Amino acid sequence: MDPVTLPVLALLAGAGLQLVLAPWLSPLAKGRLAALAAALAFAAALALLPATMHGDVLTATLTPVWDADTAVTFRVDGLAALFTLMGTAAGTAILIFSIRYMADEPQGLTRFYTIMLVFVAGLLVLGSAADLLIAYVAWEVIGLCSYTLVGFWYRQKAAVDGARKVLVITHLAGYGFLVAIVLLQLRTGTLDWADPKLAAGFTTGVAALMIVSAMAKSVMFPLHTWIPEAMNAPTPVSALLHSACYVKAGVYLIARMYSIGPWTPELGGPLAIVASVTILVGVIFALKQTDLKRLLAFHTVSQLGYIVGGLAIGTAWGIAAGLFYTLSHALFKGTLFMVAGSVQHATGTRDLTRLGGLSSVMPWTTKIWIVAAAAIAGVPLTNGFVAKWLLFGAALDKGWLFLLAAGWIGSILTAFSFLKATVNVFYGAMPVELARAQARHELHEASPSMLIGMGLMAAGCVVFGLAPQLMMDAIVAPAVAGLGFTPDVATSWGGIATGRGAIGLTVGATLVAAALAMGWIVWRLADAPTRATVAVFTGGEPLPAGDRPGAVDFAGMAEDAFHPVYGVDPDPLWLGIWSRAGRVATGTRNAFAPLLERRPALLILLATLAVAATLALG
Amino acid sequence: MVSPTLTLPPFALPLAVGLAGALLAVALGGRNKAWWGAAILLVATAVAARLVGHSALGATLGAASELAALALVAASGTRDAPAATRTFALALVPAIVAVGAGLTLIRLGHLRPAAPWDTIAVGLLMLGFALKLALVPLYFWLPVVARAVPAVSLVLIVGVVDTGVLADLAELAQVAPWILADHLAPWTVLAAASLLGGVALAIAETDLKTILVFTGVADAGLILLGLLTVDPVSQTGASLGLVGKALADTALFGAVACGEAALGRPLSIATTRGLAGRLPVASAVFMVGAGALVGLPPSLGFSAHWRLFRTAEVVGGPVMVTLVFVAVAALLLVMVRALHRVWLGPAETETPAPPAPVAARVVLIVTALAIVASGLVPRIFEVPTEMPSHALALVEGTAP
Repeated sequence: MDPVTLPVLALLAGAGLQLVLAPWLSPLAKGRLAALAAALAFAAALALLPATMHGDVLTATLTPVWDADTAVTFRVDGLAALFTLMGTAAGTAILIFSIRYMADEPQGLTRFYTIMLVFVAGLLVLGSAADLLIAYVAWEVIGLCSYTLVGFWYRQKAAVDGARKVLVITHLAGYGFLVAIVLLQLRTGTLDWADPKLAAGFTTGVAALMIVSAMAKSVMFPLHTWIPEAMNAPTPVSALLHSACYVKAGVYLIARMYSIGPWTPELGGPLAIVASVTILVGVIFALKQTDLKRLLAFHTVSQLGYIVGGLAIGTAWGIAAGLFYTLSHALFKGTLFMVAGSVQHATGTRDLTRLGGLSSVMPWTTKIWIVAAAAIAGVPLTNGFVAKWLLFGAALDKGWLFLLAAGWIGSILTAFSFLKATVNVFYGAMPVELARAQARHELHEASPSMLIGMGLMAAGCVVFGLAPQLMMDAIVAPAVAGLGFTPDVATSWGGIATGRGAIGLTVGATLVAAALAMGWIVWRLADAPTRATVAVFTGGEPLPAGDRPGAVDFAGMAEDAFHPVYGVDPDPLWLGIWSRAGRVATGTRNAFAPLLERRPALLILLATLAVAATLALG
Repeated sequence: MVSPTLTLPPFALPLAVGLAGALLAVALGGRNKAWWGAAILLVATAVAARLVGHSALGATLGAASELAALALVAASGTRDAPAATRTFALALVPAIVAVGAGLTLIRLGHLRPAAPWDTIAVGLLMLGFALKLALVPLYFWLPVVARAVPAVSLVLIVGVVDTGVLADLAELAQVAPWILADHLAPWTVLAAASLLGGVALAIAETDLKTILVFTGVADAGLILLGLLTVDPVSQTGASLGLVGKALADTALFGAVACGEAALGRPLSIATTRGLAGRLPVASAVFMVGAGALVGLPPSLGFSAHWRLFRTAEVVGGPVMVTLVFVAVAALLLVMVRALHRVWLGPAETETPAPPAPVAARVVLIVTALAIVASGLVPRIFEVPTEMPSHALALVEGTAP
């Protein structure tokens, strides 16, 4: 067995065993089996790392012939290794979390674990496929896995509506990828990502088709509206979908396009503008939410804007920033979703207006949340800070101040949004219903396996925040090199850039830090007000009845502040097209039915005359 | 069917689909002796036609299979069956005559007669095949038949007979490519009209069986597009599309047959809700069949669709690619609408209904597995990359 194919085979073997052994496995055993398969895949993926770090490209053929002359061949370079590691790491942590989380599910567990494993395997195949057609198959397989997992509770309207939206938006846009592949094959005769001939057919139009597909998968505005609707899935599904296996597929495609040839001169700028809009739209909509998972979903939209913005810059620095952000986002967003799931598991709700004061009941969950929330907000010493640091540097280096400004404003609003979520879930007074539940000892800390799952990913946020060079040198830099760029940016402890651009960024950061320190000194030396008597900073807003501003207050403030933005909803446009098509089809049929469906003899006669006339006229 | 490269014999497909249809009919019950007689005749003649291959006898057996389909409609025993039989006969009889006359004029494709007989032959064939396949605008019989017969009959009519007609056309395209290549414009218009028209008709419909037969018309239009070039990739796309269509139709109509049996009435996207709760297997198989029809991987439909997208670029450039994209996208929306209205989501009532019989579930599961398995090994259905020598000679104008 070739080590290159081992991660995928481990996952598929796990999926197969789920099906075969289903009658004899308990719910917990099914979860453990799935987690074990993912852990084996992760170990196998780690084993590939030494080679890809040295710039080696590993190849292996899974099946010699599949379709036409296409073999299912894997080519693992730096970028493939990055996605393989990300998928298996996130998959392992989330499946460990799922063991206890899903154990009480009355039915469908075999289906759940089987599809989860295929889902991860799909991402690995997408990342490693040597051939465009195989990549497209993997692209659609993860789409189908997502569809079936989001619709896991298929008797619930909200769940299946969400699943439908996932399928329709991402699959329709995915035809862009397929058409691009067909055009490349016709023009160049090859489908091999690494074949130099491919560059000859890689026109701006082909690149644009691929980007549209990637935009839908990676929730770029205006194709982002499916993701908040997908929130009615089991939490492990949301965690996997948001962190690694679905939204990152589009990121992969955008990055992989650099393997074929440069496409950024024409399309990089527009894509960066889309990414900037996405950053802002995502976070502004997140501010409004009172459902914890919907809030996180809109943050995924915003965060993907950062990632795609980095990749659109088209320099080694920008790509390094985008890829570093990709991995970082997998860690903190996976953690956040699992915490949200733990909260729902413990309290039965994810409604921020019905939550509060959980830090006393769920102390470990609270700590894990705070780490991940700090990371997504870009607090120093977390991986999120390093990712933003790199991105801002790359945008400055390129001279794209709009991207920098969007990222900066987005970061502030992200911090604001997570302050709201943190306070509303974990601090302040506990709502009456929860307090009663606590009195009945119904509230509980997450189980050990759930804590391990989310704790592992949160630990990654800290480790790669303190020592980002581990991630940069071992995973990101080889991926950048694999795309044909010379990695000229490096990071050191805490995220200090040590490569190109280090001086500018470091001086800038020092100035900001000095200004903040001076401000604080002046504030202290002046007649500073006494400490607030309430636990929560309100930003000057009057406090509502109670001791803290609640989610509704924040949502109200956000609605007041960003009212025009909330009117930006592309869904009516898509629905309008569909309903208009329906009306046109019905109207046309009704108009022609008297001839086409009720007078067959006349129709045949007319058709005969038409065929005769057409052929006679040549 | 066009000769496959590996060992799958041409008669395997009608035999497999016929068996699936028969087993479903046994499991779900309710069919009379006349229906069984017509069904057995239909499958036997279709299998024999493929065994005999492209010949006068093969064409005769194919026509016999089509007439058996007419008998099947007549034997359905529904209130609308007599009227549907008359309408079907009005299409089928002229179609058989037209195709028969056309084939006679060109001696089954081995001869290109002098003008104007060659053009007349093409006209007869075009008219005949369009009527048999209910291509747009000659689809008048299809909705009438779809509403009048039970879904299990449609497994045989669409999965065996229609597939056989498409296979006949594919064989003819290999033996006498000039029929299509020299009259590309009208055939392309027919294909495009069926592709777009089939989807539009499906959008405007609420009866699930009728929706499915119209999506089949669109699929036939796409397959016809693949036959229009002598390019082996396109021919392979058409061939794979044909097999994929037969399997998808079996899954879709099989699932609908289980739904009809459970509810005791036809399924409608306007009134039927949440069948998946009662019939989870049928629901899952419908989902697989819909995916195959739309061309989602891993199904044989995908192996066909990417080739046919390529054909569209070859035949009509970006305009045709856009047209195919629009049609396939609309096809997806139609199938998703059907899936989500009829099968998924909350049930219309909480009244418990018996699950589908075990035998029916087994047939459906095997069909779904066949759809996925064939998508994983599409090569066994691919056509040879070289054209027959006499066909090449005809194309190149060197035939005696």
